Amino acid sequence: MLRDITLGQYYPVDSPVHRLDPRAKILLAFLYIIGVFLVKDLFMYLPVLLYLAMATWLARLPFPMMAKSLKPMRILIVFTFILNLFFGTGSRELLRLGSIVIWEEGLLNALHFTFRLILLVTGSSILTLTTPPVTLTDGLERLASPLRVIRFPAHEMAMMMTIALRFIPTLTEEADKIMKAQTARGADFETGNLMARARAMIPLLVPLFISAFRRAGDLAMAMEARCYRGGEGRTRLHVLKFSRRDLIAFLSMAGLFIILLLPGILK
Amino acid sequence: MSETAHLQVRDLTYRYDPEAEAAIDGVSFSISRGEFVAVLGHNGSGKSTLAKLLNGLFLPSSGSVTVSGMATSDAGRTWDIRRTAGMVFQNPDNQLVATRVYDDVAFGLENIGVPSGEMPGRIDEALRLTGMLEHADRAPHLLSGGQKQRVAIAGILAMKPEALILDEATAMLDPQGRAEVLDTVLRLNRVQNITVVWITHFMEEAARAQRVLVMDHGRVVMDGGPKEIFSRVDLLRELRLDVPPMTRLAKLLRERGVDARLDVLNVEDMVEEVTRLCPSCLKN
Amino acid sequence: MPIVLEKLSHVYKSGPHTSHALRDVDLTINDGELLALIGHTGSGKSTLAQHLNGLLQPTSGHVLLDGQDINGKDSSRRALRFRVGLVFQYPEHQLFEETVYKDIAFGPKNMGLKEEEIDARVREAMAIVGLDFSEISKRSPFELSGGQMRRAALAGVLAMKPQVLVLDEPTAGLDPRARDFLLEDVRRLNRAGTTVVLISHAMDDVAKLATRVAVLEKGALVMDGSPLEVFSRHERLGAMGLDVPQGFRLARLLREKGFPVSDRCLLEDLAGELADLIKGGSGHAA
Repeated sequence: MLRDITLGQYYPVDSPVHRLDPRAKILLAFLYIIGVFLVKDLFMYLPVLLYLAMATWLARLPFPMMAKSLKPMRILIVFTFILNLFFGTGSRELLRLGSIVIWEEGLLNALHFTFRLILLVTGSSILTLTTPPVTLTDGLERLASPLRVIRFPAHEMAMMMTIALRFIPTLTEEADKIMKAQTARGADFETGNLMARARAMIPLLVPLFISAFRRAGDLAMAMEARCYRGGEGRTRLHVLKFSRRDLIAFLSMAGLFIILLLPGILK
Repeated sequence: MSETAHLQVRDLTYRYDPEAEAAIDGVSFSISRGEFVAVLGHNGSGKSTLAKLLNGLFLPSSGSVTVSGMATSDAGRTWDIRRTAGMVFQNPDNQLVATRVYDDVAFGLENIGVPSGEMPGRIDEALRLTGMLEHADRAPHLLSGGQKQRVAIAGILAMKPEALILDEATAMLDPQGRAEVLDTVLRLNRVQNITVVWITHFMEEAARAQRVLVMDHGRVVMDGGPKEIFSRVDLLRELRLDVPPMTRLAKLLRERGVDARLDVLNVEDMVEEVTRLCPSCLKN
Repeated sequence: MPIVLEKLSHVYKSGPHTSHALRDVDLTINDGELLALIGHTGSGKSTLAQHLNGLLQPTSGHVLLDGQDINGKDSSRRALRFRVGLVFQYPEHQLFEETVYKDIAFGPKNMGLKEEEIDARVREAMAIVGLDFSEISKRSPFELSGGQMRRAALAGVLAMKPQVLVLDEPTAGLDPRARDFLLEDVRRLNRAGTTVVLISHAMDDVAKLATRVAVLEKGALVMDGSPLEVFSRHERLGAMGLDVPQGFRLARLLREKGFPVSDRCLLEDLAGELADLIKGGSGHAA
């Protein structure tokens, strides 16, 4: 049933990576992305891959699951590979098939882009696999809270995300119910051309929007009744504290950076 | 008298806009600490509006509402009033904020600035009192309607309120959910001495209150104990309200020439009444 | 047009979890009946309802309409759907058109009816549910009161002139007056020949209206009989977490005390019996 859908892709096991402070994990993911872009030589992807493998192992995530996180991206990956391979130009010809020329630079670019994409996607999915969406939101809020001085609504954004996470299953269930009710009145959501199908969505979307607005109104009233008045003066149930574990994680990331930057320094 | 009044309503009038007919029209009553008061009325009688006036979600157009001595019109006391008189709404889906029961109960505490270290104890206690402790880690959308309402109640209890206002909190529940919620609130009323305003259109629920207010056209038209209120079957009918089935049966008996009392609220009362009317009907 | 459920089973799958919503349900819904379907929340009532017009397909078993399998290859499921009208819980949440008229016309329009026929049906459906055509048809459905919205949504299904009307908790959330109006509509429709399947938790209503009661427990049909037969089995119902109408509880308690009282579905009948008993009894005493 729809009500059982899980949100995000959080993989609920207990591991040292799961227990890292969400702020640390977000920053580490950010650093990791920079790290991936620092790689100039193809073989330098190896330490990144090893780092990723180590993190995956520490997080007790099954490797097949990591591979699965690439599935939605597979078309993009293949596409970028082909695009770079066939449409790059360069100086050293590798292969000529009629009018199509494959250059060495093209192949290198293609490999770079492919490795980068794969490492970026799998790397950032470690963040989402080991951090529940709400904790992630929490971490983002605290990281962004210094930006409040420039009036960035960190708390409001986080509250919106939490509410969205809370209500997505409720609204999905409702959409399912309305769809069935309209089908029972002869609505047809499945056949016809694009225009006809878009029009057929009206009996679903109008009630869904009305319901969402009604819920939003109710919720605002309920939150006010529960003394909600914005982020000012709020305390938090979950207090985030950096621990030694987080320090070790940052040190390991520093290690990766040294390895990645070393060839350039030695030159 | 007024020293003991916990919720005090004086000449209260409320209009949604200045041109409109008054949704609440010159209402006065007071509720003592620890009372369990049911408010009955058909849809549009003003009972939900009244609820929102009792904790300052709406402010009086004229007249006053006082909660534990604090006037809702006093802007400086708004948050004190709302934590003193907590409110549960009709739709169980639309009042929980967090994706986990435990975190949702924390929401109010976070809002009123309770220190983090103090929260777990208060949350556990609130969940225990509502019988939801074992569900602390579940996602709200996976709970039954009755369970969701109990979480909403726990969220208020954690703030240590003195009064609970429930605005048709059982209207969307199945009979089991309704019983769960009503039993929980009755227990809180008895054990914690929390004042309860229970707004409903289920007569069986109102029958379990200590006192019943009946509303019509924004006015309180009846005010008394449930037996007194429900025995006035004809007046309730005029007000588009029902009576509990056993009260209706008593009325039917009277129409058939039996001198049955009308202040019969439930099956047990009726058994007693039949026994009183006809001690010799036993077939032995 | 009887509906026959043959060994109907339905299994919901989500990931590794499967749950049996219905297990081998055999049930025949006869023409002109007012069948109440009762059971605990989660007992499979709503799932069963959605099988009656093909919104859900059975995992195994069949749903036969007039002897035709509604999920069979040769029959047009769409056409069959129109013969069974399904009114979901809180049906007012499906209103979407600019005017009440257009909303009620949605179903008939989807059936491909002609303009005049649609107009006639909208008027008729509004009359049945007691909505004044001249006053209400041009208004936005969202301006109506809660009770009126519910009746407009019901009219939207009635305008399709279903031979069988399935109602899932039609009175949920209504105040007593709106509830009585709606139940009166249902009773009238049934008397006029529409077969009605009523899903309800309100046992006093069921006792008043139903000609037959079917009880579901954990997806299985465990009782099926007249309201009198079903509600007399208080203990079994109680064990399932179901209420019995208060009149039945009273009759049982009185019998336990030794009063010769029988089970009655209508409070009027019970009152009559009790009145006779009391008057007769006090006559003896005097």
